[in-house]
Amino acid sequence: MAAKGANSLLQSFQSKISSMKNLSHLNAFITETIKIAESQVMEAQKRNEDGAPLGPLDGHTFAVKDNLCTANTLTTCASRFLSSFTPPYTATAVQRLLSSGAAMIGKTNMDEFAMGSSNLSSYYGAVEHPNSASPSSSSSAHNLVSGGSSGGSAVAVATGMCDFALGSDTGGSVRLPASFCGTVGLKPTYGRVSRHGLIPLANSLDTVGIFAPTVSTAANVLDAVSGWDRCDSTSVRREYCSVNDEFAGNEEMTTVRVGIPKECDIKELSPENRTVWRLVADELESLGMIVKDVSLPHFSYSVPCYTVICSAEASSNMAKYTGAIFGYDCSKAHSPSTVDEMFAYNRQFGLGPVVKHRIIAGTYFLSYHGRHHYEQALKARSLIKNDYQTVFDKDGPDPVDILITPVSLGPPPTRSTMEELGPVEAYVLNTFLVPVNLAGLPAISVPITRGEGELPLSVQVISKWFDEGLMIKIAKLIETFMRNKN
Amino acid sequence: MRVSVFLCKRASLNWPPCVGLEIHAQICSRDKIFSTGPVGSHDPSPNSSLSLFDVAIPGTMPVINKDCVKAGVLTALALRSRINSRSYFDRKHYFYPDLPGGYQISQNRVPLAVGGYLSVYNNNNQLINVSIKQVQLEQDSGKIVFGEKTIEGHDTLLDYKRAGVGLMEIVTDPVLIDGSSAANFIRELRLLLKRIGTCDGNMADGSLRVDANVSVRETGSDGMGTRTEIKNISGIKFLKKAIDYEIWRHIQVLSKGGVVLPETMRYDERKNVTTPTRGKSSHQDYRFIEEHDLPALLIEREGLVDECRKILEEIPTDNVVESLSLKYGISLYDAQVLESEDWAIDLFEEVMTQCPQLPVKLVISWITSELYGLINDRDGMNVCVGNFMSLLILFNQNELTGPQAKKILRLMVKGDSRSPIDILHDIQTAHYSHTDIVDICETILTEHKEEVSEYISGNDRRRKLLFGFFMGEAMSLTGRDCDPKEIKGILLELLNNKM
Repeated sequence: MAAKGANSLLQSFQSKISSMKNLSHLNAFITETIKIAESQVMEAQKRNEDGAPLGPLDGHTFAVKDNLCTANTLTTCASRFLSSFTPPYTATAVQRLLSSGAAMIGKTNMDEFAMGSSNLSSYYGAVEHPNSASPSSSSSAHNLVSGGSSGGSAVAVATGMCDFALGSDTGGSVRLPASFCGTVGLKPTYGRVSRHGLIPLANSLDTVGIFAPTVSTAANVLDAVSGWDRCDSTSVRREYCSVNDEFAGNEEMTTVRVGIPKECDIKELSPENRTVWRLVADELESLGMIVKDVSLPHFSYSVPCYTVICSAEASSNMAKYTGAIFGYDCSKAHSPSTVDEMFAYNRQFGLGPVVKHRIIAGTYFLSYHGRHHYEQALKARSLIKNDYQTVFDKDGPDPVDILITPVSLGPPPTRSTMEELGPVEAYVLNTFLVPVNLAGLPAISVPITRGEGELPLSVQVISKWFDEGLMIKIAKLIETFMRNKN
Repeated sequence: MRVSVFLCKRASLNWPPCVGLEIHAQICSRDKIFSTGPVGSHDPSPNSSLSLFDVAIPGTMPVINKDCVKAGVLTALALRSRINSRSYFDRKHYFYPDLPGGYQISQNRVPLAVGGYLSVYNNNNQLINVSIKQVQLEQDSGKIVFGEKTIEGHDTLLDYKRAGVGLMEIVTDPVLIDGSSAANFIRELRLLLKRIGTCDGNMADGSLRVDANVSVRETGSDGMGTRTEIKNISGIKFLKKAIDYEIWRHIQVLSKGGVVLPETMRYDERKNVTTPTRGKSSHQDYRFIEEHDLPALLIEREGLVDECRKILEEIPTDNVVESLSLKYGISLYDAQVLESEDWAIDLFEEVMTQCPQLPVKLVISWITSELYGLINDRDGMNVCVGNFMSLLILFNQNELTGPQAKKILRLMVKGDSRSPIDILHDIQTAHYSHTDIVDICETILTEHKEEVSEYISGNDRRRKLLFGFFMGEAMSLTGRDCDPKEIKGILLELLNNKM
């Protein structure tokens, strides 16, 4: 982020807020916290005037997906069940941003409990695609989905309502809406960013992800939120150095080995998306990098494997939503006569259809009669992870440092297309994304260009575990040469 | 319905029983096992001192408490179990209002420790090794309070204060054969846990809870019989009765050609029967899943095992009954009687250490016949150990008569915290009314029934001798102020009434 003059912090804040107001029909926000944000920006401006800013994020605005807990601010998971839930604490990732001086302008809309890829399952209504904002856009754009489940955060960043946003990525929920809306979408290595305060969907896959207009902003945000947290035992205790770095020169680039997984070249991939994927590979090769085909033999198991594991874990994580201690209370509308009945009513009326579908499926996968599916999925998961270990193994026969794949199969689908798909078929949208979560790897969705209908096209850069440094260097490189090209 | 022990024993020749125990021992630690919520805080109000994780507030995550791991390792080593250098946590699901998260974090795939044994005496006074299947760590649930319609018309109240307290689940193999060996096992385990300080062993307030699995099989058959599980048995006495009843019930059903259902049973203390519980069935599908929020528990890396081994070098972990009997030359029976009350062994050992001149038999009898008779379970032992020791010393030096010492002990149990000498002084100088003296004389006569019947049936000479004895007892209890004539009159009248 370029250093801004003292006054421009407030000016920039005002312009973001006016976009937020003008584009309220996109339905990106569930709760706005503009007043608090404004006073924070003013404090940051004072620090700036005194020549003592807290860091690169001081005074910048951000939005937070509504499944990250914020003290004193509603955190609904876009569900009726939590529609009046105000957490008594703040998620570590959000707290770290606040401590770096950034100001939270609101909580963003999402698929209910982050279950979905198109942001149609929110209790607060769907999030509109940013192209709906422009009066010149074709009428069909009004029906495009924003992508999900972090659709609100993606739209907020893509339309300039804030400087960056947090989302969550369990099976592509940051990278997919980022690619549909044309922003950078970063999913860190599992364990890099604390999940404390992230309301879980599938806790072996969940990560806190980042939306930003540029790779370097995303890297600054990652710097701020990363690192060990005593409240999350899976967060990683390792020396953390800034990931916001660039290649020193051409010589360093020529040592980078780029893998193109051939299994990703599936027939469902749209020609446009295949073209940008190849274009990026060719550009990297022309910069002196070693580009080669690699194989991920178990790639095709990813979606079914993910479907089973995600549902199974979700059914467990959703077990606490009984209304006994917090959340939806049916007792005013219905009068349960037993505790079981109270639980049943609260879940029946408090949770939406997609959530119930997933709970029922997951309960089956963990139960005696369906358990073989779950066990099979665990095996598939270790095979998938092993594929990545093999291609990244520096002592292996043919190692690479980075993988480049498509993000989505094609442009954002229309609402009606998505509504026709069943909840299981909808997972296909995440074909290139879920294996990354199954393996716990870091990945970034980088916007490349705009295609038919001015719709954005992106590629995904995947690096080794905890090698976000290289991933970001490559992503910046791609961003730069594509900017020069366009 | 009463169970005849004799019938039960004879029947079990054809139907050998297999009893296994599942013990849940609350870990003595400052904080809960996965949160910083305090354990056993002084605030008595329900739902006090909870952390957010204890009530499953969304987004909060478990963090393992190392003190609880240490308690588990200490316990496992004391039970001679093999510590798994890598164990895992899993979620066990069931919907019940006392479980805030809808699941309990437990260890299903690989527990903290496996194997091991505890040496326990069986009915024939043989020391047997009861093998341990496993020791695992898990979290406790909250409590449901079913009560009158008190608060806002709700009749089911939830108290999550206990939710998340660390538990050690200790599971034995099904190698016990009856209620009394199971009771002996629990007595030994309790003392062991108290000695190593990992659990306070209090069964009355639920710090130590026992479930029993019971099955019987026909002699000659290979497989095990169908198992039933008796849950929530309160206290060692009832454990014994519940198990013996359940064994008897199995044999009754099977010997009549019936089928034992795999049920969860509840023991009714008043009727001494077991009845099937509604609610959780024993074949519930817990839908176990890995607890991904907690990494594998790596024990070796912590250097914990060595640390715990060092601690255990200082603490005796042999069979308590056996070591007591060897150390003090007392019978196994006496040692077992001492073991049966919570506080008795500690008191016995302290007296023996501080006053080695006292005869062991005397100490045992004053604890197991006098104190046991005076103290009820609920209030526990409240007599000052120092005063108890001086009492025994005075008695042993013949400075107190038996009745005097007993009277003083009775006052001490009732809360008199003065030294025995002071109490004695009071007794001797107190002025007694006529009714006081009648009470004292009546007590003496009821405490010496044999002498009384001898008096009634004896000749004049014998009577004179015994009357002198009664007079002496009464004089020593009332002191010198009393008029011997008055006492004589009262005693004569009381004795004449009995003839």
